[in-house]
Amino acid sequence: MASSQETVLNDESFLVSETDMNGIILFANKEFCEIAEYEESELIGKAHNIVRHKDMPKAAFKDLWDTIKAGGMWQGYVKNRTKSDGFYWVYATVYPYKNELGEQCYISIRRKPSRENIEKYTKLYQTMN
Amino acid sequence: MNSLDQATQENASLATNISQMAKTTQDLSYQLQTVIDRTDFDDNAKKRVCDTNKIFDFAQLKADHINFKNSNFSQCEKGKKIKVKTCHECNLGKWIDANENEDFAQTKEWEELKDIHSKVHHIVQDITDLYKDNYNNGQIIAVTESLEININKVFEALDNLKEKNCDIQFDKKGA
Repeated sequence: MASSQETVLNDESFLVSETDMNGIILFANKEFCEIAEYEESELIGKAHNIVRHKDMPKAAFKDLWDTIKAGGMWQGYVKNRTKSDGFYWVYATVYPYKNELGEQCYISIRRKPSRENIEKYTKLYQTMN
Repeated sequence: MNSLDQATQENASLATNISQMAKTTQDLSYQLQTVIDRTDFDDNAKKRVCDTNKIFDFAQLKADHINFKNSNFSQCEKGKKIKVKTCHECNLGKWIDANENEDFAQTKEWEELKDIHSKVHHIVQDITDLYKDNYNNGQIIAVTESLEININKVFEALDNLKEKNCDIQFDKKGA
């Protein structure tokens, strides 16, 4: 079995995306596209779970959606999947946001997590799956 | 007396005044504590004022965090990267690191304070980067609202910790 390739973010990495209330991608910044290995046009209009990695426990996303649907901000460690079936870890913050039409949207900002936390959450998520 | 001497004299007298003021404040704080100790408050009221020095610390730490936010925002410019202090570099962060061994730091209130404080630093960095990359106002405002909510949560966490500290002090005195 080929082991999948990890992409490590830079200290300055700033991955931004915006989704509608159903998690459909409305916007993806250049850095997010590069790390996820997609063209912008391949991401817009798709469900955000296009980058979901199979190692992520369902409970983490349930917690995310429960929190932001209630109007709160969510932060957590997420392992994402790249187009070529590699992975990258992020420390994600999701903010609820109403666009100019008053529609509920969400902005997600992802940054480089520490190696220590990647190891901690790798272990934790294994026990949750 | 020449003007330089005059200035030196004035400085010296100013310094004396300031040190006298500091002394007076300290005395007041001590007296206040004595009064509180001797007064029969109901327990809840007493808990909130059990350690007067901590009240000054906590008020200062709260003010620092409003300044922290304002000073970062005032530097924001399109295209300009601002490296926001980490949650160990600001005054509250330094205070947290310096107090890790205190009794009140071995509590869940302490962990909550650290968690929410770290979130606040992340949000401030997010806002300055959104501003740098020219994101629209609506997005920046949405994130700023989250910041305000979370700064308030830092204040609540400090208040909870203050009460927890008082509980611990009372238990010690009672023992």
